[in-house]
Amino acid sequence: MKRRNFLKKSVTAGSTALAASTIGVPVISKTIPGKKFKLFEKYQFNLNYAPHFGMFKNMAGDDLIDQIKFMADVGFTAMEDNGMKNRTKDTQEKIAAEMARLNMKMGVFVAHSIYWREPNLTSGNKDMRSEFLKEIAESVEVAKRVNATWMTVVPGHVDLRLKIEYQTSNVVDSLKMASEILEPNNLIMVLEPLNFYNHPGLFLERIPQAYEVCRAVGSPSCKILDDLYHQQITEGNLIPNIDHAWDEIAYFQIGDNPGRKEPTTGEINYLNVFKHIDSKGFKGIMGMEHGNSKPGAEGEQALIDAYKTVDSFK
Amino acid sequence: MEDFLNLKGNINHSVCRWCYDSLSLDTLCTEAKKLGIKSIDLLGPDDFETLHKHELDCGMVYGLPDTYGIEKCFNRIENHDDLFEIYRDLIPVVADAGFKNIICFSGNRDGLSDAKGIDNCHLGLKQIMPLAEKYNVNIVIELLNSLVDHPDYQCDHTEWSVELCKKLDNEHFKILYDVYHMQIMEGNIISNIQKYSSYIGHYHTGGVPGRNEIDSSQELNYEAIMKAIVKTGYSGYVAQEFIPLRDPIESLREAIILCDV
Repeated sequence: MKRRNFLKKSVTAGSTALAASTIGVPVISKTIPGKKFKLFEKYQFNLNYAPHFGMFKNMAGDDLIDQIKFMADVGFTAMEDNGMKNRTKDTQEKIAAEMARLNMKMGVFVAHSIYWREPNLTSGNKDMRSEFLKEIAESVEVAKRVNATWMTVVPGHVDLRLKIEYQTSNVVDSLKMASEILEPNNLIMVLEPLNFYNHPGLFLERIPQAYEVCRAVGSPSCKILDDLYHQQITEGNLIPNIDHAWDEIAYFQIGDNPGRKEPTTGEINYLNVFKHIDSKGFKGIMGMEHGNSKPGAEGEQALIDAYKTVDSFK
Repeated sequence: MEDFLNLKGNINHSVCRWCYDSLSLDTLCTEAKKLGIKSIDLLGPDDFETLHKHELDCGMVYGLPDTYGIEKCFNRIENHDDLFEIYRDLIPVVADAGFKNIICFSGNRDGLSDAKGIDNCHLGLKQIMPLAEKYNVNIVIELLNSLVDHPDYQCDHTEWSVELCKKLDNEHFKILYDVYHMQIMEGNIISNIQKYSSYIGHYHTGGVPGRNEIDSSQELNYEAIMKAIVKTGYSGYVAQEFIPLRDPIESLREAIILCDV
């Protein structure tokens, strides 16, 4: 047919079959005495997937330190905790100490109050900006305490009384000021675009938009958190957007769509998305910011197995 | 013809002819039938005889002359007289051949607002819908991406095509939901399929990025998408529309197996 542009056919090598998941031999955890669950041999993941507290509560129990030990036993090399800032100083220190002992990387925590329903940074309001900058400064102390490098920033609701260009400029100005606080501490705020179905009215929705903001801020302390679940809902085209925005992406989060559960439960072929991210040399953190598709310990085991499957790209 | 793949029968498989230009249509028909494929997409009346010889359906007929097509179609009023004549002549031929779906396009925006584009498409298409009803065929508008393959194409978002369907309010007017194109433009594939299934009359596939094999080499999980399609009660065709990088028939075979949920 003439209607299509025929591409030149080229031959590429490579297997198309999903590599089989490598399942180890079950062993009882030695790090958490008295626990009845069975663990598989520590798995060597290719990427730094980061579970969160509660994800393995059936297998590891309610104790936060036990959960960290469990994550390490499975083979996870990172952990993220959105609510870290709200924990007591004592708890933060204990979490950080255990993660340091287990050589685990600390993922993101939410750096500031998110304005879900009203504009803050988009408005250019000086009081709102001051509040944001004060909270960023507080988060620097938290980050130092818990050995974190990245913290999540969501620029809040749109301001319907301002044209979008003014809103973008207001956001950029605030983020430049926040960068001045973060840069001397070698910390990075990662801007997270969220999907408009679950979070209608937020300013930051798309990766190209986040890229534009980061370019305008122009700081090593202002980068993108590419949450693949949100982006699959908002705009699709995941790999091309990863490539376009690569210089500004510092952190990923994961979740299949629809449902926001572990990989293999939805429409995203995470095996290839992870393969692509790995092939670009990414050494950062892949936050597992999703739920478990099945309940109980069985569901937690299914989640671990799913990660082994989608990590088996090399 | 024996069905070598022992397919489950939940998905009716088709394949787009243009992706296999290294093969003659005759050969493609023969090979497709071996894979349990029941239809070849995007063929015109000149090819109907070959399809009949192989007892194959044409899941989506393409019957536009070179003067019309993706870039130039129903969103411009000045095209409507010609298009009426084209579809007036084509519809009975397609019906007589025993086929059901005829493709159509919006055309490029070329400065036209999305609202005006819907209005214009509605004006042009409503002239041909009585004929479609009379001959019991469907007119199906294709969703295409305007970022990679078809810059400025107007029917590039599902909601736009759904609005056109609502305005036409005719069960013989449907959407060709192309998973490849919509992953490039908007994502959220399964949710949109579930939400708009009553408007969708046909599906196309393709790997993103690249429009090649739909296997593990790209970013979509086609097995999950096919299961979602089956769950909507869809009974039309799913046509493979990817450009094979490997042996074309082997790649087609793998795609059929992957989509046969």
